[in-house]
Amino acid sequence: MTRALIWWAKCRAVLPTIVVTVLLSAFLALTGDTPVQVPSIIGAIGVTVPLGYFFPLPVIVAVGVGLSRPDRLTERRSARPVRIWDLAFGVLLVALLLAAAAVGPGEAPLIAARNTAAGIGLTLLAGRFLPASLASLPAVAWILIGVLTGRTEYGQDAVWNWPILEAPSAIGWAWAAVLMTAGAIAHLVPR
Amino acid sequence: MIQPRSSTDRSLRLEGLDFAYSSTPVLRSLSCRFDGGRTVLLGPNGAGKSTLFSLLSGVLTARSGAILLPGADNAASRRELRSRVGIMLQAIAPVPGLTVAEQVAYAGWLAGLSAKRAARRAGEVLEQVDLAGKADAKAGKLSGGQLRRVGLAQAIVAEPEVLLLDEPTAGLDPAQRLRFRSVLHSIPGDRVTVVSTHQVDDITELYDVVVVIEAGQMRFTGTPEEFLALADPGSSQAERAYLSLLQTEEMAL
Amino acid sequence: MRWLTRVRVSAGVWLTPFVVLIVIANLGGQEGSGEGYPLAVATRDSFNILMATGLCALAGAWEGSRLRRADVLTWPNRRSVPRILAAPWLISVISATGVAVIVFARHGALASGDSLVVVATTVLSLWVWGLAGIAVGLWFPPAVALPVSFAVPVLWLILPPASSVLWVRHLTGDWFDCCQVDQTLAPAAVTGTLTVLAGVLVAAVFAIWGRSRPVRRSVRLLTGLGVAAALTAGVVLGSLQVDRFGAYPVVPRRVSVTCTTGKLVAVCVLPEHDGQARHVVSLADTAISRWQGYGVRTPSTLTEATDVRPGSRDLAALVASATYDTDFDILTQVSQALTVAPCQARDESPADIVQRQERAQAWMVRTAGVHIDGRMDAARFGLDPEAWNWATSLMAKPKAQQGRAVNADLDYLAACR
Repeated sequence: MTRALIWWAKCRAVLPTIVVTVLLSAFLALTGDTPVQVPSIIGAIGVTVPLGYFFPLPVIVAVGVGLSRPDRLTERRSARPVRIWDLAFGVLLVALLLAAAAVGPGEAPLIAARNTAAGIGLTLLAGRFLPASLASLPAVAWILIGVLTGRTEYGQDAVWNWPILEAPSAIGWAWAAVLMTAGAIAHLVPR
Repeated sequence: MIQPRSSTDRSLRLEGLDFAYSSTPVLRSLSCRFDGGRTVLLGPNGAGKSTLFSLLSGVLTARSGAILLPGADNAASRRELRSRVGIMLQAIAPVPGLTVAEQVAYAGWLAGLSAKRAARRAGEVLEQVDLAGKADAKAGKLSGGQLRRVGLAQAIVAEPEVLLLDEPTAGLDPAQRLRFRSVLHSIPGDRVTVVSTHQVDDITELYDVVVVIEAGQMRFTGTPEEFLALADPGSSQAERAYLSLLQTEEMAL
Repeated sequence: MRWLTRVRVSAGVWLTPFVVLIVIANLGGQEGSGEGYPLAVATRDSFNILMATGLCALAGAWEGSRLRRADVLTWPNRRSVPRILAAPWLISVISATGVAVIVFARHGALASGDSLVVVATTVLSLWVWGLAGIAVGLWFPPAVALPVSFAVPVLWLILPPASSVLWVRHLTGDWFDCCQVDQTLAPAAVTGTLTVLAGVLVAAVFAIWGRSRPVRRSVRLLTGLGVAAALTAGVVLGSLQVDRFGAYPVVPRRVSVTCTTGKLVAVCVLPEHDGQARHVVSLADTAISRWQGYGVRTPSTLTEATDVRPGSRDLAALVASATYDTDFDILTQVSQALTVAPCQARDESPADIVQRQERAQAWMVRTAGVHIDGRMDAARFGLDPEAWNWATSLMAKPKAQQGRAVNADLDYLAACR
């Protein structure tokens, strides 16, 4: 099984993705709370987000890259648990970012971990319906559009705008759970 | 591996298969039988050959009809088809990050072999397809013809009961085509092997049965000799026999 | 490929609704000062349109990926590489360019030379990022090229303005803070942005050249070095041009004012306020006539000219970035113009300057004889209630005494240096 795991890991570019995530996690713990003021483009109020807000982007893209590499048809016909391994890998990446939350200051690591979970879930979900090369695009777009649309009124955020919700926001974590679950189901259910 | 219910029929049987992409019918009540041995599947582009292979390998699901695997009395589920049928597709995708041997071994493991056996079988089949020297090369660095041989290796590594080969010799040079023949001959005769190809000049040497489909329906099934008898002896006899079966005006001479 | 087929399969065309959505979402939001000032309009619109650079780069990456899949650029082609890429490049940016031109034209941003520079820079940004996307698509698998091409231009717009190094933001082509009607965009801000864009363009060309060669290690190395050098040079050379700016890349605007003469005062305004000049003169005449009745010495000219030195009782400076939409606006601006003090520009101005300004203004707005809609109180005029109360008690005194008190304040303000 170890050998098969190594083949799967090489196929998914697991090692580079983990390296990127660990580096980002360390960076997040050190500097992630630096504020970034983003003006709004859609008539709402601009938002100040921690720099760490953007750190999930490379992780999500890396996961999308990993999902695009294998021979989809061969894997689709297989009963081997590779899709479960994909999901477990996503959870591992989120856990690595959560580790930054344990040692780093402020809320940035928590937000980054939450958004990574939501982004990975959305990538898995999109991968079911879109070509593999586009799988990470919805998550990347949602995060960037979220920060650019800002807030609807002072102190209030749009319900759909999970990327900019603060760390204690239950809605934000609910989104992460829902997207992760939907992505898991979409990825695990045989086509 | 799922065991078939006991049956003495060792052929692959199709009963009234229907399939359509959106509203475009591709297979229309196709019934056919592929016995053990090598069958060549002929037909013009768009006849439904690749779609048939996708159905037989469990990638697609027929709208109606049944596929019965060798030794089975009941229609096979998609899961059974996926585990007992091996397929080589027209387009072979190199997997980044894996060597040729790893890609073939991984395919074997995905098909149900243990990792150890898959690695050993990968070495064996790469010898068979004359790619042993490229075992440690990155799959993405191979030429088109070499990649097709990787695809063939992936298809046979798990020794499936039913083997489907879609255009296996496309892009191969004459020497490699000869090599392919020896690979084909090395497959045990009791296995069902179906080869989709446009090359008809060597059907008597390679195949036991000829099946011709057009517009999703069967036009001919029989031995290569029966197939050739459809045309007068002479040059391009096989091509003339093939064309005589086709009902599409622009295809017929 | 037939043009209809090209249009049908092009990502640039399919992304058009998103481009339109980004821009339409803020089409009505022309808030802030300098409304009607083409340059301010252009810079407001350009920020929204620049968000489409991500979509242009994404469309370019899609086209580049398509060419990469077939390795088209290494074929023995009769057509040159620029000719092969011309159509994909055009189709990647045409819809964003069209939307940009329509929006700019609709808001009057094509009306002046200053604003045309912004329009040109914005459109150029779309094209350069589109080509950069093609280059990325040619080199990297779609799973990398597409999201990266989309994200990088957007992040380039978001992150530099957030930097503590204030001038970095002026390299992005986003001059959101420009300009009030008495300001114009510093030329170096434009050339700095163009320099960065040139670096991106050259880097893209290098990358495309590398992809048109058989892939060898030496080609990869040369391409990588060329790309890195071009990007670095663009950013460094652009930085050298803007590093003297603070948060705002603006310089005073040198433009002639047009004077409209009333019975008691002449009002000189910038071209953007020409349409309101008559009404301003009329109201100023009314107010000044009333103040003169109290013996207050009033200026003969109110002007928006930017080279006016405050401190003269005869020439009062209007705030050029003000609006004159209502009588309330005009009354506020006219009364404020009389209370401008030269020493306000210093970091440490005398403590009582603001008090005297507000006292004088509170008295002036209540004695001007101008009817304004809505309530008349300190809060509405943004004045200290103490100043308002001072004016109330002053208004109970004889007219001559009122005039002397106000003149004393105004003289004090004019004289403070």
